[in-house]
Amino acid sequence: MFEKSQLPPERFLLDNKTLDLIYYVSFIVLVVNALIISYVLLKKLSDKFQRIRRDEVKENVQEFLSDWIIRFEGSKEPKTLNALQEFPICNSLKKKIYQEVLYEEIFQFNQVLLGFEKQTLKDLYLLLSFDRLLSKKLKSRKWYVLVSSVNQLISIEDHNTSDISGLINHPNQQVRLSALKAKIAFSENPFPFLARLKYPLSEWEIFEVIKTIKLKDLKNFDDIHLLINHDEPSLQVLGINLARIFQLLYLKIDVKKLLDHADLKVRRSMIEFITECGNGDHVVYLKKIFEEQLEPQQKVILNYIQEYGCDEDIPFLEYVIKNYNPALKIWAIKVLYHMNQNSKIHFNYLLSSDSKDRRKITQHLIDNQW
Amino acid sequence: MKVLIAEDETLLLKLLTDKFQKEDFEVIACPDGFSAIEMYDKEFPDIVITDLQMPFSNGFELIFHIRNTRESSTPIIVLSNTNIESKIITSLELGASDFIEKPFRLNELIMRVRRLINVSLVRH
Repeated sequence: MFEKSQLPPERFLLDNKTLDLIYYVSFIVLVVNALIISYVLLKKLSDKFQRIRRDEVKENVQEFLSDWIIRFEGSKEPKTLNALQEFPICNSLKKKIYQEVLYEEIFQFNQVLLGFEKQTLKDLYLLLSFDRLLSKKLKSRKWYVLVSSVNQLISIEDHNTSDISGLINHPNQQVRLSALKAKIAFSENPFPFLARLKYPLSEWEIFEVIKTIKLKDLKNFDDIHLLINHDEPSLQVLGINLARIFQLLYLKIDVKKLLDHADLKVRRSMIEFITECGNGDHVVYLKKIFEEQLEPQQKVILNYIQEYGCDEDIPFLEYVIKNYNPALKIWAIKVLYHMNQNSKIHFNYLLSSDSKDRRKITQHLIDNQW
Repeated sequence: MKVLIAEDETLLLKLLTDKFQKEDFEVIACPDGFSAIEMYDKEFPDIVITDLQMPFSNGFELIFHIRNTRESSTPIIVLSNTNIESKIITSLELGASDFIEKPFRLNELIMRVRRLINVSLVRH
């Protein structure tokens, strides 16, 4: 069939053994591929069926939850297992998939309802012993399970299920923060336990703690001094910020000690506190320590002077305008404009100042209508 | 009385439907904004309760349709989990009659619905 010259050279021809091997390997690869493809298709099919089944269960569970709330609306009848048997879903609730879906739906529903409906959901949660399930989840080793479980605990307002104190010192920051929020949410007076924390709080944690305390509508702040006089600066910052936010003007705070604190965040919080809640007693002292502060604290001191300053402070503002960086210059010029009538006159002098920079900054501020 | 409820959370839609039916309302339940617009044109409800974030058409589009395209004064209550000021203001500017933030109390919603229907009846 082929001319001899058309055949490949003999060294490229394979012997029968090698050819057999290639056939076997190809066959095995084909079979393995077919198996993999079949497995993937079957898995997809099974996932699809599972999804359909779950959707069906979800629909039944949602119907049940709605009926459950409507059934007990306006009634003082106790929610017992006997009452549960009135619902067609009762027997199915023994199945794992039903329990899982119901557990999820209770927490999802819980987020949009208040008052009686929320309480009815909580009663169902307790009736079906989901609190035990939540307790188990709170012993998980996975941090994200712990976080979601603690959040569920807060959302269902379940004070008794599990002691989460152990999680407050958890190595994972997210878990610690959730536990901290839960502890605050369930506590009448969160300050003593906050003062016992064994680690410094980050700025984000301080923000979240303040947010949680704000939601609580606390009335008793007597123990806040435990935080303000704490050895840990981050807890002092938390205490001072809380005092400022809740306008606790009656607190007896050693202002000078905190203004001289080694930690700049404590100093800054303290300056912010006296700016918002204090009186004009500290202007002289703040001017004295102005030089040693960082820019954010210096800006807060300038705000304080704007609030409580008088004509005697105008030379100080002029000194800042002459000798500090542009950001502080702008800040000081603003203070000059807003402080009082005399300072405003000085502000107008800046427009005809010898310094081109100062004229430019002042004009810029006027143009931008601050 | 006919109430149109546009809400994409099926569980909440079911509960609202059951609750309003129990209170002798005729309920038109819509799981998205598009079907809500369609059903509004077809059924002319006495009051509309709508979420803001929904698939296909959102709550703002529904309010806009009722107030501008149909030029109707049907009372509209927005029921949303947003607490973003600009969204609340936009919905009221577009013509929503009331805004209820989730989480909410069912009975409070019913009371507000009844009050708005009464005001609307007195006006007409």
